[in-house]
Amino acid sequence: MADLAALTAAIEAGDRATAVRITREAVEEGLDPRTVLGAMTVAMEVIGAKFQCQEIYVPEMLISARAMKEATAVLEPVLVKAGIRPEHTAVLGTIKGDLHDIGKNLVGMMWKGANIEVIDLGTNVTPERFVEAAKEHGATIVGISALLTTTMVGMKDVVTAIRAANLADVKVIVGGAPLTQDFADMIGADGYASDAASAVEAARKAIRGG
Amino acid sequence: MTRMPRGPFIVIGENIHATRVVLRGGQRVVTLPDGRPALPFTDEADVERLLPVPDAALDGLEGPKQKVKHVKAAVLAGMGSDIDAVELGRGYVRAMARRQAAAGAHFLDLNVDEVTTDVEGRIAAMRWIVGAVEDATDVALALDSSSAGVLRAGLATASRRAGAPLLNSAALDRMDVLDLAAAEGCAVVLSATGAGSMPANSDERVANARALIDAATTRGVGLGSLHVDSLVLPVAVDPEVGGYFLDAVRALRAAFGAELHLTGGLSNVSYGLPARKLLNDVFIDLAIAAGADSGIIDPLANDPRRIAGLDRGARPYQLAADLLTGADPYGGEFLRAFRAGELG
Repeated sequence: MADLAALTAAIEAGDRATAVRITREAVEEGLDPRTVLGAMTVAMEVIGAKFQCQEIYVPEMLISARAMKEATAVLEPVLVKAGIRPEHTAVLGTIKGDLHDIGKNLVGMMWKGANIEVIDLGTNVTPERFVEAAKEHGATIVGISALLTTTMVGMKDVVTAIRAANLADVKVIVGGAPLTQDFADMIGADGYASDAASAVEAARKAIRGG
Repeated sequence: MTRMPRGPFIVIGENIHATRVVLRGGQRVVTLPDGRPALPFTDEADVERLLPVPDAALDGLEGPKQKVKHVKAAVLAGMGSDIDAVELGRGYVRAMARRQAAAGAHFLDLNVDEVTTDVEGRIAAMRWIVGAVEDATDVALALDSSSAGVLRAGLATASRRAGAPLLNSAALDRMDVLDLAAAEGCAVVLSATGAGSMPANSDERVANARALIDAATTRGVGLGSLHVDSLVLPVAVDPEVGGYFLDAVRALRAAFGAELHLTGGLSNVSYGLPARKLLNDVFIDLAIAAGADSGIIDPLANDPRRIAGLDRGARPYQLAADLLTGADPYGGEFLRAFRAGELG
């Protein structure tokens, strides 16, 4: 029988080959794909918590997320066949005028790890593009990243545009080095993430809160 | 590796930057009897002083991991209305300036963009910090902002007692800073970030740098007044980026000769990793070997004079070099050695 505890351990260790092998076994044995997916998201929760305590570092978070991505690809057809979709979809991008994508990419990985579908709009994203994509993909989360103080002020325009588009179910999460909780509150965002790992908690909290 | 027989490595001291954070529970922060955090420093009369931290310079939940933006705290205090706080804020940044000058900085980089989100506030903060810091040492200033208006304000305030400030930075989408450098007779950092995208490899870094060097030359700014920043990104997220930077430095040195300054925000390379001091030391050494003669670094942590004497055959050096040049992608070996206590 596929050893799901070993699957969790393999993803935590960033061991892609083992994670993929066990996922294949699980699929062949006809295990409930939700259970298999659960074993993976648990691993990413542990990784997020360890990262926040500085027990592990960015490259280790990255290779765990990659292991999860490859294992999920094996599981994907079964999930689709069973009609199982991620509960939430997030539209994610770096704010207009800003080309920095490192923080944004880390957030994307952690959200995927938490079984949130992520539509990555890249960098230099206009408020209009955030709104269009949120509508098109039925997103419940919009994530905006900024590294520059000159660009972070543009986040307010995204919040305004989202509200003006009557996307009442959409929660806006902002993050990036120059931001603070105060700034997030000031522009009317629904959540603030100080790093990639806390972005998962911020998204969950914002969704629960609404 | 042979050391380049060029002049001394130019240190652009990066510390006086409003994003800089110390942890509430760390050694740099104490708690006042009323429970507020404060930042200890030694003033010009060699007296220990305490700068109370304004709430706006705190980030995160109260506790040992709460972040204290210490430079921001000093700027907010210094620009406020409480006379004692004004003096303490000023004293704090002056103490920082003296420590960096003593550690060998050739320029003091001043960045106050993150004190506030409005441009007028940033302009006022730049004016304030230039006035506060400029006569604290004999070291020239590097004015650092992503907006030309803030740089202009800093220039207008600067007395230039230690020479014209270095402007940090011009880029393909910030050509107005190049105009400013030409008009004011300033040296300028040229950032190799692209106009619409980040450079994906060393060739794109070199192409962006060449376009900027051409534009500077056209405006009459000579090679000796240019510090090209070939864009250092963290190896934690992409194992190749250290090599991209070093290759770009080699190519630019070969193409433009000794006069052009080659620099970089070298400490960026170690973001997201432990043992950052070691990684930054080794990356500075590798950058110098590749032809860099300038760096936007913290001389208190990474003194180039000490780095020049590093044992390159030592195991920690080699592990760091492997991670920085992509030979140990994602640092599996480096992190194992770190946890085993083998990095010294």
